Amino acid sequence: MYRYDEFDATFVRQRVSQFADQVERRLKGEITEDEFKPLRLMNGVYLQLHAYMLRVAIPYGTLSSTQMRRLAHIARVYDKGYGHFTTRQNIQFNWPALKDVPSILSELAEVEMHAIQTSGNCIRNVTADHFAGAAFDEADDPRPYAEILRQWSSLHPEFSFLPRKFKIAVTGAGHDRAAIRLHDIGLEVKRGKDGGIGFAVYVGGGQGRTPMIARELAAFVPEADILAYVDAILRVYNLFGRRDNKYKARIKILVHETGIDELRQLVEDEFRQIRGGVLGLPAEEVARIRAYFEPPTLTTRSGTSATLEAARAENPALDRFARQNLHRHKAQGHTSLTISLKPIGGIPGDASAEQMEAVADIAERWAFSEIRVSHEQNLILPHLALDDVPAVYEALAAAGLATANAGAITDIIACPGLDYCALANARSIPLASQLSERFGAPERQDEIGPLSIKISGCINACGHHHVGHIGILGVDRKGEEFYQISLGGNPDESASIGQIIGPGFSAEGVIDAVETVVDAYIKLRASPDETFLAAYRRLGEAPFKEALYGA
Amino acid sequence: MKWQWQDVFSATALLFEKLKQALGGAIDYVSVRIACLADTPVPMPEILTANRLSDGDVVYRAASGTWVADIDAAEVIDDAERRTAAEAAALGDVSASLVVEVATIAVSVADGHVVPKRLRERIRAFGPTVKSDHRPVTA
Repeated sequence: MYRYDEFDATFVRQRVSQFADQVERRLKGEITEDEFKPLRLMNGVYLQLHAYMLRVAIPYGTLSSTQMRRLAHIARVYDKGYGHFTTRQNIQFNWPALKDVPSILSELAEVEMHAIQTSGNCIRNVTADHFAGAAFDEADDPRPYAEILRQWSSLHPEFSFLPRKFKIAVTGAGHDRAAIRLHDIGLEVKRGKDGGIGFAVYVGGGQGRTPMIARELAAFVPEADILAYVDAILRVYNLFGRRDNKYKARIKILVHETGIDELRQLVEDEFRQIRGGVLGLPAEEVARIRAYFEPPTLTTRSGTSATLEAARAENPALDRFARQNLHRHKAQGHTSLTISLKPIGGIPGDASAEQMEAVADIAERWAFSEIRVSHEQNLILPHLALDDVPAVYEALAAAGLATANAGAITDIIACPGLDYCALANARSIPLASQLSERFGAPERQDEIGPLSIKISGCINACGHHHVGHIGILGVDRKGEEFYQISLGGNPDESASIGQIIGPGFSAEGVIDAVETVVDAYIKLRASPDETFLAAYRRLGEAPFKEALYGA
Repeated sequence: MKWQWQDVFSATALLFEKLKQALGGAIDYVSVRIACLADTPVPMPEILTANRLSDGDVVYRAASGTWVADIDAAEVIDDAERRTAAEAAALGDVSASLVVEVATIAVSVADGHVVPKRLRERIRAFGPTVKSDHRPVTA
């Protein structure tokens, strides 16, 4: 894992003491709320419905056991005993007191964490494939590059007041698990003809009120040039991005209004001027950063594990878990294990302090103390021996963390919604809980197969409803919660935006409506192997519309 | 691009921001309300709510002028004059750095219990509606 150097440690410590002073002055009334609000937002502190909310950055979703224990400690001491993992691979605490935030940030700094750039019109936490460095199908680990981007973008004076927030995602695999086409900039690590590393660069993706799929800006930018190229994009955006209307200020609107070809020309012009300058990425610097992300030394093992196979044969629950929650590792005899934070009927992304500690202990004992947060709001143990899966499963089950549903219909993404969020129009979490209960029976989930439901409580789309196979958007209709269903969204390399299927539903009606869609799919699919998305793409919306609203 | 209802909202929000800029920031929603609604009749009982600055907790303005967590202890206002005075005093508490995000909200009162009209405010008053087994019971 990346470790802070002297510079990182100093600037985070300085920032904590700066903010502590600002909070003190605010509480004494020496500065007004209007003066203080931008300062607190720069440090991840929002005011939500019930309380302040602190959003802590988890760079590219990578955490150590030590850091996870500290998050648990913060949840217990300063919050109500739990934390909420988000679709940005971050964690949010829903109940901290403003007067405690400096202490929380100070405790975070001790484990090399902070809340800088988790809000505001700056470059936000750079996200990455949660199986990075472990997945069998990747060209290379994307995290060293995510880290380089993090260092470049942290407190970058030129990019601290962009027209709007800016999100970058990096994947190392052709199969996109980081939704890079739904980000302002998406990067895919590729190998050139000579084996050298480079990046496919996508720009202008995003969700919110105007969802758009990113366009390819460059097919291959060599490693040495990537910082200069990304810098050139940011410069063009900073100059030409709209500042007259916050709803049209994201780079996707610039791409849409300017056209990808003209934008590419602008970026290339800028790139030519700065290429090879201070932003050139020297091979030795890349090597230095890469060294932090060296995979752990794994014992050579055979491809199959007799221990796991025997345990699976004996325990159907473990068998199901192994079928659902393991992802193929690049080293044989190993796996990446998803710890689902989607208990049936529970709250997507929530973990109690005790659960966080259990995960930290399990990671320490069996998985090299490494944990990932996925944008699907789950946790991952990226490097685990297949032989250890039965023991890990038992330990997870003891902590209430052995739900076998990764990628299944109950693995629902949901934003905090009207239960917490000041921007929301409708609730998301109770809907997620009810849907999870409706489809929670193991046989039912197996029958349905891979199907994602994603729920947002407002048009800002934090719950990724635009790219849910089934997306649900909550709106306020004359004071009542009302839900629109869209179908066919998808976040991966064949990204698509879901289409609204027809008139919306009441909070009571929407659960049945989703089940109607699911039942229609099961009836219509060519075979049990045809996934919901494949069936929808083959059939189009008509049969689903008919099932929902009649002919 | 197709017209969406959200555009109306963005236009209104934008207009308010422009107005705020033009007046050098010396304007907020409550003052606008005071200016716009001071002479209009109160359509239904209202109470004043805010978040306490130091911890962010949801609070309500009692008749004594203090801010309390118990919504049933809020002063229920049903005349325009009283509302104007209460809102002015509440803004004073914003200036005094006691509370932030002051809002006047519609409520109904039955059996001595105050219940906000809007779901959002009911959730603020009575807490998240989510259920979870792992959440510890807190005071």
